[in-house]
This record gives sequence, C-alpha cells and structure tokens, in this order.
Amino acid sequence: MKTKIKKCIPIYVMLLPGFLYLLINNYLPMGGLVMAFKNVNWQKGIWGSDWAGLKNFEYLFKTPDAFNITRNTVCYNIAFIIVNLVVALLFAILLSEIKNKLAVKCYQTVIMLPFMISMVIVSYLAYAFLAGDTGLFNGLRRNMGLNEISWYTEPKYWPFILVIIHCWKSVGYGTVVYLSSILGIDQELYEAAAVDGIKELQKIRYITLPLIKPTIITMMLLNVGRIFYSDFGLFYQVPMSSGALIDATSTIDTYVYRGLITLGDVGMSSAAGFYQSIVGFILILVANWITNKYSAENALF
Amino acid sequence: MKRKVLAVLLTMAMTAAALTGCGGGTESGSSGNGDTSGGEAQSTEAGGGSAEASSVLKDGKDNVITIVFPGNSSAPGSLEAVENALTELARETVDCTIDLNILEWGVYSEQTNLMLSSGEDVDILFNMGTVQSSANSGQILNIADMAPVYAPETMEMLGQYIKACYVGDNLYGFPSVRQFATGAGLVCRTDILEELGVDASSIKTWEDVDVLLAQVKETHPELDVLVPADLGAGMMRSAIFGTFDILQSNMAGVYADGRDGLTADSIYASDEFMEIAKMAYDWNQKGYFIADSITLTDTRQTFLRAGSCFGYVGQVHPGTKTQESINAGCDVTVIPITDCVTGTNNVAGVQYTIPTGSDAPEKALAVLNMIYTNPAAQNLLHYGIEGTDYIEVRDGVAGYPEGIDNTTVGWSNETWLTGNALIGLAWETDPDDIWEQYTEYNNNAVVSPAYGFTFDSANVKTEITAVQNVLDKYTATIYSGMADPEEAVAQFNSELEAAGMPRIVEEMQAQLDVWSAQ
Repeated sequence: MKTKIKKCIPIYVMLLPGFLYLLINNYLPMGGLVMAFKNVNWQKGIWGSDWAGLKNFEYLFKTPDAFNITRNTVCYNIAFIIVNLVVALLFAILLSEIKNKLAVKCYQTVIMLPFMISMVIVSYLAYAFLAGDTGLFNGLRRNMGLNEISWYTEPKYWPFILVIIHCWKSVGYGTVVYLSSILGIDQELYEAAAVDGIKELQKIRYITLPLIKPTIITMMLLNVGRIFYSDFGLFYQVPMSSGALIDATSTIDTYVYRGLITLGDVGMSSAAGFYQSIVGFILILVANWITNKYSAENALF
Repeated sequence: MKRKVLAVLLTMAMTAAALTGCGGGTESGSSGNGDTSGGEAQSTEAGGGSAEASSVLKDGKDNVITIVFPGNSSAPGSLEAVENALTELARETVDCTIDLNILEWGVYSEQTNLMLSSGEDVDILFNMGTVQSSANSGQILNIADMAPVYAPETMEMLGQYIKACYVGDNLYGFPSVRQFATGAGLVCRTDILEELGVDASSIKTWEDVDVLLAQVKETHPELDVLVPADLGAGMMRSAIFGTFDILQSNMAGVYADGRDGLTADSIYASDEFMEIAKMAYDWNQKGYFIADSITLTDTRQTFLRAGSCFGYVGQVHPGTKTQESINAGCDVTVIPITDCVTGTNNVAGVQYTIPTGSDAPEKALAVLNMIYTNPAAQNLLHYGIEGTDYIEVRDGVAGYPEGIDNTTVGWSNETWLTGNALIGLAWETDPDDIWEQYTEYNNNAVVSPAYGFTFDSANVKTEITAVQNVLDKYTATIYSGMADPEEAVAQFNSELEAAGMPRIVEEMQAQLDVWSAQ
C-alpha cells in the first residue's frame, strides 16, 4: 500500500493545482448558499444578517408567470438536448468517414467556430437576418413577392429560431466529443463486418452507436443536471428585449434578471440559483440511478 | 455507495464549518468600521465640534478619497491635472489625495453594483435612481449625524431640498443641484424649424406638436420624424412625466397637482395613460415613428448626428438645449409641453452617497462640502483646467479656448453631475443667466403632495419582481404605438393586477397614510 502511494506521488502533485482550483472556485463558495435564506445587509455582513426563512423563494412560485418560465426553461432544454444530440452525432459520423485528414481538421474548425462567438454578437447576426426592413429574410420574401414578417413581434416563430441558433452555436462541442469517441473504435471491427457484407447504415446502427454509448450517456447525464439553467445570452440578447416575445422566450434566468435589476436584492437572486441547482442535483441523482439499473457500467457513480 | 455518499457529505460539512470562521472575520471587520465612524460623530456635537472636526480631517494621514461618477470616456486628457488641482484645493482643509474614477455610461450601473456589494474602498459614489435598496442592505452610510459636523455649509445651502434625501431619520446623500423637476417636451432640429417658419413658442400642446410633425413629414419624407429618447423604453414614454409623482419606479404614484391628495394608484390605470397610448398609436399610424423602434440599437444622439431624424420626445429642463446640442453636434430647439413636477425622486434621484466601504467617511464628507461650496472646485469638476480646457470669455461665462472644440477638449462633464453647478461659470452656449433660470424653473415647478416621502419596497418585493416583468412585456410596445391601445391597455392592466399591482398600491397607500400623520 505504502509503495503504491509513493509511486503515485508525482501524479498527486500534478493533480494538486487543478484540485486546488476546484476547491477554491467550486467548493468554498458553497458556504455562500446561505445568502438565499438571509435578508442580506452588507453592514452586518453575510453571516450576521437576519434569517429570512423561505421568503426569498416566494417570488419564483407566487407569480402568475411561474408556470410559464419553468415550462419554457425545461421544454427548451429538452429540445436543445435532443436536437443537439442528433445533429452532433450526424456530424461526428460524417466526419469520421472522411479520409482526408486536412479536410477533417478544416471542417472541425468551422463547425467549432460558432461555439467561440459571444452571444451578443450572435444576437446582432440574428438581427441582420431578422430585422424588419433591412433584414435578409424579409428581403428574400420581398423578392419572391411574399409579404414581410415582423419577426421580433411574432412569438410563434421563436421556439424554432432559438433552437436553430442554439444548435448552430453549440453543436461543435458535441461533435468533437463524439468524433474523438468514434475514432477510438477499433478499426478491426469495421473490417470484420465489411467481410460479412455489411451496409453503411447497418454499420452505424450495429457498431458505431453501441460502442460510443458510454460517451452519449455521460453527455446526457451532464446535460440533465443543467436542465433548469438556461443560456442567459441566448434568451435575453437574441430576442432584443422585445416585449411581445417575452412570454415565448422567458426563462427562469431572464425572469430573475428582469425582476431584480431594479431591486438589486442579492438574497432573492441567490434563492433562484439555489433552486436551479437543487433541482439539477436531484435530477442527476435520479438519472444516475436509472442508468445504474439499465447499464451499470455507464453510470457516473 | 453508502460509504462514498457519507464521505462526500462529511467533507462538505467540514468545509462549511471552516467557512464559518472565514465569514466571521469579514463581518467583524466591516461592523468595526461602522462603529468607529458612529462613535466619532457622537463625540463631536454640531456646536462645539469644529475644533475636533478639523483634527479628524487634518490628522496627518493621507487618505485617498476616491470619487466615482459616470462620463463619456473613462480617461479624458486632463484627468490627472484635474485630480492634482482638486487635491491641492482639498488639502487646505483635509489631509487627502483625490482620485477620480470615471466609469463609462454603458457599464456604470453594473460596476457600481459590484463596488457596493464587494465593499470596495470607494469614498464618494454618484448614485442615480433610488437609494432605497442600497440603504436597506447597508451598502451606503447614514450621514445624518456626520453631515452637520463635516459639511455644514452644504446642508444650509441645500435648504428644503435635503429633506428629500432623508429616509425616516436617516440621511443617505446630498442631491446634486440641478433641475429639480421633471417635465417633458419635444427636442428637435432648429434648422428644419426655421425652414418651415415655425415659431417654437407657439407650440404648447401635443396637438400642436401633431400639426408640426405632419408638416415635417410632408416636406421631408426622407427623414424619420421621431426617434426614441431612450433605447428600449418606448417612443412616448416621457409624455407621462408631469402628470404623476411616481413613487415606485415606473409603477405607481400620486397625481402631482394634488387633485387626489395623497391617494396612490397605478399610473397605468389612469385616463392620462390611455390618452398617451392612443396618441402613440395614432402617431405611429401616421408614420411619425421610426420603423422597428423597439429593437433599435442606435441612440438618439447617433440619429441626430447623422441628420436622419427630426427630433424626439423626452425630458426637458433649462440645460437640455446645451446638453443635447453638444451630444448631437447640431443646434436643437427645446419645446416644453407638459407641466413640471417636483417629487422626492426628482431631488433624491441623483445623489452623492458615501459607501460603507469608505475608510475615511468624515474626510469624504468634507471633500463633498468643498465641491458643493467652492467655485474653483466646481469649475474644475465641470469644465476642466482653466486655460487648457476652457477660458473665461466674459464675466461669469466660460467657453472653449482657441482651437479646441467638443471633440478635442480634454475634459467634458454634464451640469447635473457636478454637485453644485450653480456656483460655477455658465457655458457660452447657454444664456448668461442660466443659473437664475434653473432656480426659477425649480421654484415654479408644481411640488407634489408626496414630496419628502420615500416608498419602502421591502414588503412587496415579490410583487415588484412580477410587475417589472409585465412592464417589460407591454410598456415599450404601448408607448411606441405598436398595438391597438384599447385592447393592449386592457390586457396590460389585467396582467398587472394578476402580478400583484393592487398589493403594491395598498402598501404604498398605507405608508403614505402613516407619513402624512406625522
């Protein structure tokens, strides 16, 4: 046992910086969760402020919008998870079939690029397409003889617009992860299958997908934990604060931001964060337990 | 699995216990600060305090007094020179070094929020909007005891206007001396007015403005007649100013002219709001508004500078003409339409406060006192360095020196940001008696029956959050005339009711009754 630890010391030393960073950035601030239950008064400090019980959580549930924002957040996230999964897998499988190494790198970079762009810039890009009179889409519609659509005042298009924009922006990340997983599959399997006369689609269905199942499950579990969170930039910036769209694009994060920007109440916004993370925590536990039942080796813990 | 979970829980518990120690340290630090200053103020009563006061101010320690306020650029050319000059002036009565921290408009509220919540050592903070939440969460100091000791001249000079900054018995800051009333009107290009041969003084009501706008649209079809005054707020948002003293930002208040006494109500349920909604719809149909006004990203200053619009409907006061002409780069005419109302927020809405994180609040107060009463300090803060950024063109009036204009000058500041502009020089583009005009404007304004009352929102935070979301949904659309007013206003009001507006009005009425009984 002792020699084993001794042998691993260099590994522990390498682990140390990352571990310290996680400790300081992710674990120590957990103590601040108490802010959600307090009436924060800066002169008394965080610990000396009075307890407020569950009062800070009321505004999330009492408002008539509560159902609306929760529904929006969860449904959009489910749509994002499914669409991103399908498109990322599609791209990953396509990329894995390309023989030209340089071409693969190029495509990978191009697909990954939107992931690096700030959401504010994306909102302006969207504006260039969707603006009333100068936008690209309305210009095309005019050329085709159709009437213009005022995109920013019609809520019914926005679930589709937001899903498409989110997919365009985030699919690069998933593609890279799944691609690296696919590349790790032993080529002999494919060759053996080719001898038996396998077709393309069957190859994907019987070899590729089952072998990257662990990766897919891990990614899904991680996404499930964030189901009550939303990309603030996407839901606040892209609709350009247009009042008519608020019902269709309002999520928990934007609701908290809009409501508290005048009040500036730290306790209430901490309560919102606490609520989101507790739900995420419970969901991960449940999802992991389910995974344990069906394919125990793929569960997170 | 059980062991693992237990181990994780144990670790978290140990960490949390360790954290209690951390939190305690910070807390005692900040409360210790508060105690010292409180103790000082009590030992130096207003009467025989001046000797002890000056011993506190001239204690030999060179504290850095950081003043934070907004500006167009965070590093104007004359920044260091102005800081040095101010330090020299201040050192006559206070041992300190003055540091000016100018934050750009776009990031001002976020940065100051961060400064306040982190307890950074900022000594004088320029605060816009209500101080209620900062005061309630202990981010700014109560200077009710210290102010008469360290800033007696300022307290005297502010007279009745200091009343508006009191919340109960606590005083949280000094209002900047400026226009103390809100009124709205039309701000438009002078050249087009002259071209049409219109006399600005003949335009008195919104109907007159309608006629004028029709003329402009006919003769200049290539122009966007009106642009929004503020981004995202709606074209006609300012038109409601002058009718109400709004006691909770954008939500509810009392009639300014006192017709209903101290009866609070939602401003969106009133007839005046419906009238404005209909006017906005009508004007939008007539094509006066720029297209897509809600999603615009360019400000009114940009449009005026580019010459692509006629004007906007917004807040007007004696200094608007100079302020907007400089911002727009062309001459504008200001046509006031609504009444001017003085409410608590008009005075208290722009204050110099002292954050809790300040390490020398007494010195900060003394520096503020200097800014408010010393004309030399005032001119420095307003115009910059004499000779480089401005020269005295004639008695009491300043102007640009040879070869400098508003794009090359090393310092620029707006009148309402400088503390007490009235004791400094006037600017050459304003009439010579501009400060008298300000005083007259303030004296002639309708004083709201609720002047001096500040609404405490602590009990209705849930409702305010919900109502704010409903406001974001509807106000911009209604004020820009993009929806049928009858339907939209009715729907708006019913959603406001569901969100809790009646609770807010009830709470406001209860507080008003208590306040008026005192």
